[in-house]
Amino acid sequence: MSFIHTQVASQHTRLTMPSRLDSTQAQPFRSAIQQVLAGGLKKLELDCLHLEYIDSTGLGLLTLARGEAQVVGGTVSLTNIRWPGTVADVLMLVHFDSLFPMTFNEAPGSHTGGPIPTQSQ
Amino acid sequence: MNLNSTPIRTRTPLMVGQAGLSIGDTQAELLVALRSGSRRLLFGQTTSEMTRMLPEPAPSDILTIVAESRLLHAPDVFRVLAASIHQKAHLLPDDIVKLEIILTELLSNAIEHGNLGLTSHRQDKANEKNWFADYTAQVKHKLSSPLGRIPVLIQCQRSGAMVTVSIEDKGLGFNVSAMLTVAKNPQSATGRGIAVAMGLASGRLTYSSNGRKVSFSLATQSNSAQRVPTRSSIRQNSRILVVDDQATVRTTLLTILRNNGFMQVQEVSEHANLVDIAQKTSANMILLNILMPEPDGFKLYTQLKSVQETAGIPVIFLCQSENPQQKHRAFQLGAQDVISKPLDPAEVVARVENHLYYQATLSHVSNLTGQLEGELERAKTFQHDLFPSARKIIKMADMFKVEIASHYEGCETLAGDYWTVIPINDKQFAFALADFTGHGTIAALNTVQLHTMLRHETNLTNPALTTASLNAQLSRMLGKGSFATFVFGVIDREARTLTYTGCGAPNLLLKHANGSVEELSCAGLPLGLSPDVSILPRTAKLEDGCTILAYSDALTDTEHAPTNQSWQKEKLRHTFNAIPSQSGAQALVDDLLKTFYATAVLPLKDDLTLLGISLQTP
Repeated sequence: MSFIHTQVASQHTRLTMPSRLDSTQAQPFRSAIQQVLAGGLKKLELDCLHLEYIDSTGLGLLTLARGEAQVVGGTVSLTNIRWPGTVADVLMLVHFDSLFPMTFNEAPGSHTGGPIPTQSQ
Repeated sequence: MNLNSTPIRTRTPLMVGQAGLSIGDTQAELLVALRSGSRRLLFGQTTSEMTRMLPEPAPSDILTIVAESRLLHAPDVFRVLAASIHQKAHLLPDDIVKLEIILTELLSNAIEHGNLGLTSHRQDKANEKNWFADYTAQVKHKLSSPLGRIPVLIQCQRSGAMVTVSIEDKGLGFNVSAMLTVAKNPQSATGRGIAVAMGLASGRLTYSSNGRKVSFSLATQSNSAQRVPTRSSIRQNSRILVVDDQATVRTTLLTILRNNGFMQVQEVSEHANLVDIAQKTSANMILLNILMPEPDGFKLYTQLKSVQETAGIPVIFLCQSENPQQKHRAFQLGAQDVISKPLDPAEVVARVENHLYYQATLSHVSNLTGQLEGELERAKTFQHDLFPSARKIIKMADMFKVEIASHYEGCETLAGDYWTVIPINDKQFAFALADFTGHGTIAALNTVQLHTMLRHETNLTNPALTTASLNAQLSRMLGKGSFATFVFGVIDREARTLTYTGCGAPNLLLKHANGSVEELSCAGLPLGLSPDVSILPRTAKLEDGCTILAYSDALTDTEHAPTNQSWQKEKLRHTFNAIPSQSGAQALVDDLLKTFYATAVLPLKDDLTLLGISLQTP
């Protein structure tokens, strides 16, 4: 599965993430970001519903995307992060909640996952 | 097994060679070997260095790989490696992604920073956008150079209900603290790998050997290991191969077994590939016809037994009833059983099920034993951590101008001996050596109790008071018949005196600077026998250049070849005398042990501890 663009509103684009964000996805991700930014983005939403795997390369790519969006005055948010899940664990481990607005998607029956993380101030 | 003398490496790709190794030279071959379930892999061309890294197989091994960096550094390898470990180690279902991420980060770091000497830290923000392309190009370039041929050892071992994965590289190692510092910059695009790995491993990630070895543990589905096998679970879960050149026989056996609840039965028509198929399917049992076109059943059996991964699979031969010689030879070779044709369905089912049940029960017992061994190893590590660290010893040596040397060897996994040195103030420090009755778990637990008590003692400058306090506490806590011989001493470096108490311990030996030897009595009631014992201190004069030796009674009581006589005090005194007076504590302990081990009957029957302290000449 590759990155799917959805135009939510004027200057608001949703990019649906594939199941993995790692070194193999670096080039497609960079291309997708550049394509979105070229369209005059103000708000980029990265939909993480299908994202099951992210490593330090993936984290770096997210940071770069944020930096590039900031250059043109835009913002990047991470939405529908699966909770509980390893991707959520990784993002919270590296305090990405201080860099990105994040929303979580609680899996049904996941009562043992503990409270959904709240955004750090 | 001497790997150095057997020709491990051939040009045949993916050869399943001696010692059950899968051998190859390409990444594709490595992936095939991992997917096929091989447990010991040797991949690359720097063979002699790689075989030196390969450890001897151990019962707790799940997967062992020695491969060159150039073959390991790829997302596919990380993914397949994680899946292989997950499947073999029976990790918790949610942990496979976690495992892949941890392996990716640690292997990448071991290879990139340890082997290739690369760092991802970028000072130049202008390069930040291009960091990935630049860095990837660097890694690719170096992996294809001779630098990429440095081998990396990956080991996965069971340890009770946990699995420990370790990665060891023969490169530069890397600076963990520097990596963690970079990771603290939240804006940086790089440097988070170690922090992620540490976090996902929930704190159970450790480094050693200057960053060249990293280990972490994950929990296994231990319930499955603890579940006692049942006959119905055996029928459902056992993987059986049916090997016969006659299709009708194979069909008959498949039908018999499947009709009786054996759900995972597979026929093998290309019987020449039996070893590979048995490995790939992780077969639990093989029904093997004897009379077949080359290779026949006996040859295939020999092949199976020569490969580590398949050697343990039970084999039931199928033979002609009118040929008793076949049956005899089958049993001589070591077959589990023999079934005569024409096949009796009830007999087939009964024999197959019985052998599978026995095997499953043995495996269950082996798992429980493995868990227990793992627990004991962790307890041993915990016990060893009670002793003063090398750093503490060095600090004390510098502070008090002394040399401190020790030797500690338990005769079982857990030991009943204990020693310590404790700085009291800038002029005085204490030492203690205890030997609890028995050895093993109870004695080890007692040493932990003593360690805790000592840490809370407030009268360390007064050996008599300290010893009396310890005795009172141990008298209440120790079981009937348990006690500890004990010596506790305080050395005043300025006054050059030793004040000590002895509770039935072997006498201290004091070698003076002029070479004369003095025996310091430690006679007294051992700790823990009676709470109301009068404990009196003793003193001795010391001087710079003298050495004190405390030891447990294994030093004097161990039997020595060829007469099976023990040293007793006389031989120890004689050996101690012979060591030059200016040797220092370490040289003295080393010399004593060299003489001791030259003739000691091993394995030791008791725990052995030596503690040497010498006052250095300024």
